[in-house]
Amino acid sequence: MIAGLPIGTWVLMAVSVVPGLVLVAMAYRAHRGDVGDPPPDLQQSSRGPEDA
Amino acid sequence: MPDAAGSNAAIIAVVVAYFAVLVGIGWWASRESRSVKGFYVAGKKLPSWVIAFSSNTTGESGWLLLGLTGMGYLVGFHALWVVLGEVLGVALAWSVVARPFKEFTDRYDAITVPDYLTDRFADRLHIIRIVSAIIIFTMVGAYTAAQLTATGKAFSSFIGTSYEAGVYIGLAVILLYTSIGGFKAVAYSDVLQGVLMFLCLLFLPIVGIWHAGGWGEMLAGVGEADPALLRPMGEYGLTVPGVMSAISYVGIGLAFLGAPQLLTRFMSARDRGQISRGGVLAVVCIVVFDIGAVLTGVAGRYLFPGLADPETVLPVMSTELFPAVIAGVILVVVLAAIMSTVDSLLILASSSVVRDVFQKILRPDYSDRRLSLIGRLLTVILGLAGLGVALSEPRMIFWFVLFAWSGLASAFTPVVLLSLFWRRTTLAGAVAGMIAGFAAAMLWVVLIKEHFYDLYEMIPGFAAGFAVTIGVSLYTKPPPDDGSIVDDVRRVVGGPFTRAGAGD
Repeated sequence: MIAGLPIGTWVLMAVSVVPGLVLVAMAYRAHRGDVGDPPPDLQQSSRGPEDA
Repeated sequence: MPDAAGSNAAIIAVVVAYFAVLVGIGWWASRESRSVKGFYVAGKKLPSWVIAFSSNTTGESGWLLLGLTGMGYLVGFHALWVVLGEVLGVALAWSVVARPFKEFTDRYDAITVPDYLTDRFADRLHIIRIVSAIIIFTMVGAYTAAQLTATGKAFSSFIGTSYEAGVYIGLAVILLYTSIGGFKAVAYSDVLQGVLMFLCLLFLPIVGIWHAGGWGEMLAGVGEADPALLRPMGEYGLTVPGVMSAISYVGIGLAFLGAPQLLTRFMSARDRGQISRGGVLAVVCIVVFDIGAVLTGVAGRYLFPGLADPETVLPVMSTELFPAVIAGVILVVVLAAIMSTVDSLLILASSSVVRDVFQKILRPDYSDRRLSLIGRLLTVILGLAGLGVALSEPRMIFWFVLFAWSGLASAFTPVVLLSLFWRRTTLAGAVAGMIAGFAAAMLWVVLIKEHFYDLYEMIPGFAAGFAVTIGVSLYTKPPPDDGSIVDDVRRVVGGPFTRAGAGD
């Protein structure tokens, strides 16, 4: 027991929270400053069938 | 009873002020809602913090505040498995799904999920639109009616109005700001509602633990009443029913990966940069939501043992531990959780008819203004239909809400994920996968669930959706362009954790 809870419960609490935070932090680090307007040629070339 | 009357007056004043703010947001957003794109995705101009709060509050209905707190009360820390599923679901949605999905939908100028799937698979017969409209309409109808029931019950338990009056009041306000302001009003009101939910679930467990005499005192008391409440596997321990229960709880969060009402938020982002920032906020927010709800339930178990209905633990704590004005604020938070889901569902169902059936199939000649007017009208009609069900079958509809969440997610999530990442996915595979995922979730609830450890229907729904989409896609002719657009999008947006052109 640690601070009134079994160790397994603390592990579950950590596993519930930490991996999710790490995932979005890594994604943010990789893509910060990303604006994401695709080049015009790509927009032209991949229109859906109804826009053709 | 002057005290009760005074308390009610204070609570009503808080609620009226909150409703006035919502209607004000609807009026402010109305300029954006004159076109179909404006009405359904706010013109694709939303910033990161709006989509982060909006996706979380849409995903978390009244179930978070009444259901998850009740689960914490009933099963203690075993409910942390729900937190694991939801946090991972939200994190993966924002880091893996959102960026390619935003890129695809921008290229196709899609404003609904069926819009995207139709263009992605060159579905000239509009089969996807029709199947989607049927699934969305039925599931949203059931979900909306159930949430309206929760509104009626919240009003009657906090203020003492009749159940029917509570349903009428809640629906009237939702329809007013949703039909005037469209998606923009819904998204910005979600921010207000999300902030209220965040503050409530941050402070309520702290106050609860303080009233219990502190963390150690609370855990000692709860453990003395039932030691299983402190264990990660709860009363079952490491047995087959225990593992199935944990898997079911984790499964609840899978819907965040691809439920259409949540994907719409990514579509409405101003650009992909908003998604990078929004993800961090969304995950922090969901951690506070979920851990706060579980701890509130555990504290409630110590403070108010023996409640006949565990899902009343939050109303009981708020009225017993706080003065009337704060109890009024907490009622507003419960209403906020309900309303932020209902308004999004109404917009989703309205879009599935106006955009996917009217504009794209039946009446492509209608003007934008006329279609957005039909969208408003349909939102009102849908709300009134939900009202009819909520007033006539208040008990039956809670049965429906159990699988409305999983029905929507099982139909769309496997197909959307494969469409984003697997170039071999075909139109036939997508249609078959949607139907199979939806049908499997429904049939599981009706025929198998109670005989198989009560395993949550989202698990078989997802398994069937993935298996059938992959199987039928492999069996049918490859897509005409060999799915090269999947690689093209990946080249432009990069990998989940690598920048475009970094050679991932």
